[in-house]
Amino acid sequence: MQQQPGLTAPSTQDSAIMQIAVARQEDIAIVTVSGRLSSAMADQFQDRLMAELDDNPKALVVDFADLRFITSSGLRTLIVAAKRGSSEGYRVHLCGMAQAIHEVFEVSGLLRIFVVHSSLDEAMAAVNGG
Amino acid sequence: MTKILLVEDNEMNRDMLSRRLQRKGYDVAMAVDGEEGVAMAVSEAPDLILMDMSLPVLNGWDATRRIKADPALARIPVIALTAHAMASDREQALAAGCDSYETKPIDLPQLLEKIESLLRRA
Amino acid sequence: MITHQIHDPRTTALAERVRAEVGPTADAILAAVAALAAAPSAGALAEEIHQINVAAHLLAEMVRTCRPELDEGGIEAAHSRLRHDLRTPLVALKGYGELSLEVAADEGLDDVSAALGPLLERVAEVMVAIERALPATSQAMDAEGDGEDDCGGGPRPVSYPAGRVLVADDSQANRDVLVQYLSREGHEVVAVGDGLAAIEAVFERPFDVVLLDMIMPGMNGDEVLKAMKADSRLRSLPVIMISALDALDSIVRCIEAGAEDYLAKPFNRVLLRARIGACLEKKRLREIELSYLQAVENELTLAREVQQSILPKAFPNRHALAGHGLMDPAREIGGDFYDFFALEGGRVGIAVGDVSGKGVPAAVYMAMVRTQLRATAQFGLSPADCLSRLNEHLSADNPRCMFVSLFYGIIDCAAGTFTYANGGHNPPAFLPAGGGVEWIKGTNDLLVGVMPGMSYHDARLTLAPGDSLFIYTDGVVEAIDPAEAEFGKQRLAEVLAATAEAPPAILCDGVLAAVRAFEAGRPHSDDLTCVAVRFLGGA
Repeated sequence: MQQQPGLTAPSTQDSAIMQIAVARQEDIAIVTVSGRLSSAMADQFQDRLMAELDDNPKALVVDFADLRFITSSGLRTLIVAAKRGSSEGYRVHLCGMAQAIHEVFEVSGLLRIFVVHSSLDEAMAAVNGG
Repeated sequence: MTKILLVEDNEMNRDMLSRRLQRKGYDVAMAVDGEEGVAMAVSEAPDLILMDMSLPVLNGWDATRRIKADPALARIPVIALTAHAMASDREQALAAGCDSYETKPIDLPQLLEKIESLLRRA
Repeated sequence: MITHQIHDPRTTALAERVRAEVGPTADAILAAVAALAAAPSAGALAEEIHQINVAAHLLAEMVRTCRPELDEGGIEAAHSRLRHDLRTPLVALKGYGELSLEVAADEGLDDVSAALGPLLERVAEVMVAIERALPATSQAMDAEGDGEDDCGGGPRPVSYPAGRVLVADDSQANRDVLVQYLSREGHEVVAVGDGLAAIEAVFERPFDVVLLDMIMPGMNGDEVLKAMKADSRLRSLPVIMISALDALDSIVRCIEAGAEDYLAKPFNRVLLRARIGACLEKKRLREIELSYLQAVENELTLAREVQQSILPKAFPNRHALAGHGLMDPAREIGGDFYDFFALEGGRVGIAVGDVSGKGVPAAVYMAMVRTQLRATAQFGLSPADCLSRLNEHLSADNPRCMFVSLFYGIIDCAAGTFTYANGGHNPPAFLPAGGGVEWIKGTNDLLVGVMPGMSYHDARLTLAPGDSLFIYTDGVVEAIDPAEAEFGKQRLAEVLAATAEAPPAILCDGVLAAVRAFEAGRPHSDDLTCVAVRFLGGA
């Protein structure tokens, strides 16, 4: 059974910039980010991510389904989440990466600290089955 | 003993201020309107006049003008008392010939200081 | 019969303000009076306490039912009537209160004295509250004629900064009034009689505010205004138009054309004072803002200098090697750097890094990375061991979670090898002597400074004479054109292929020129760094 994350109000109307949607499935926080995760947007993204982690989820899944661009500030935000996860006992799962985004993670060596899945379904299955 | 003429139509104010001045050792004469104020300025020969501005019969500005126009009385210092605390009142009072100006409610130490400084000058 | 019941929102606001500001203290006075009346020896001052009690109830009642009415005097008159009315009961409260205190002290009525203290404090508070609720007009007016002595008793006037004022009015009488009044306020005033003279004056000397009469011979006020707004040096100089009240249309046009405000003739001195004051205050704030922006700009310049100062001035002198580096900073400093340094045994270290974030923090972090790398490199460690050590240092204490993508390699001229480690940096290009472009396989190790305990790996290339390396930061491939397309690795490979034979400096310049052409005049959003090294062999 699959379930799309219920979308909360997008943070910005302009899809060319960045949209964040947050959903909960039991104890799993699912954050979907699309558009361009630029330096200017990174703080906003971080605030949403941290707000989710404040609720002590069992796992955090970040869905990059329509993300087209990410800067080092965007990576930094995910790194902050991963570090927090490693101290609080869970891992950050990433899914839905476009080829270009995957390449950024590969080059930067970040695939070593995140668990990467091809789709949200796969990520949810891994988290639940894990 | 220094004699002060207090021209004030409000009985309560008159009572209160006269008693406070008497307690400080002044001799206080009282008038209840402008007309009486001018008459008593002549008859009582006060050392200083405290003049309310909104007075019946003859208002404080006109009473002061009359006093200041009389060479025999002109040297008596007049302190205007008004309730408005606005600069226009103050200007009007000074224009009528008042030597100084106090706003109600009266700050007694400040009034006493003005009285003494005007008496020294006179 | 028609009655005019005027419900003006301003009087409602006034009444609400009075209730909010004065109400609580007026109620506190009632309580204090009750305490006074309950004092055992209150009977000795029954008459005085009665007067106090009546006045206290009158004040509380007036505040509770306060409903200012508008007449032809407008809001200002309603305001001063209310102020006058509210002060009336204070005469008895303060007067009888103080009188009673004097009597009680003389006659040893300590309980009455003790109850009067708090009452008189509340009375002083309520006077302040009334000033707070009903200030403005009376304050502005108190300023007038405040000349010879200092016994006004009212609040001190609002003080506005003094400034340089230009008055342009063709009426001698108006000029005299304005000059006299503004000089008394402490302003430095210059007055002229027509529009052309006004133009000459504003171009000749600095002013803080200009008062322009609308109708003047030769050149009208609105034309002077337009001329001023058309000049970049004068655009921010505030202008107040002077006009007859019936010329509302032209006032509106002038405000659209950039005038700050207007003043109607005949002049109301309170308004004049307030408007000039507001203009000068606004100008002062604008200047503070500009100086703040200047400070930010200075800080960025400083960061840029830090960044430039740590870049190596020249490539180490080796017969077997030629090299060149360039870094073209973004406006906001991206934190790129490159470094070349000589190591033992004729080897040369080459590093290119890109720090996360921007601005001063990035510049400072970059300087730290560069210094630590140079220090670590001198211990004869392999590139991977260097990165591991650096990673431990940088990630140990890193509350801001900063990191650097760092490519570090060592060329051994004698052996003809290039040993490198890659901490999350994009793969450099290898340009073999025979032509072609290959991406140097990454070791896919993590960005440096992210997490302690990460391992880094060495990899090795064998160099033949004529082979070149091109190391760069993402500012090159992520540069965008006006349509937001990325420059990309493909374009970079094409440029490199076309200029592969050229000396390293030309190669770097060629890439920068290609990126700039691609950006079509738009500034980089990130720093852009290129390093080219050619192995000449024959050592």
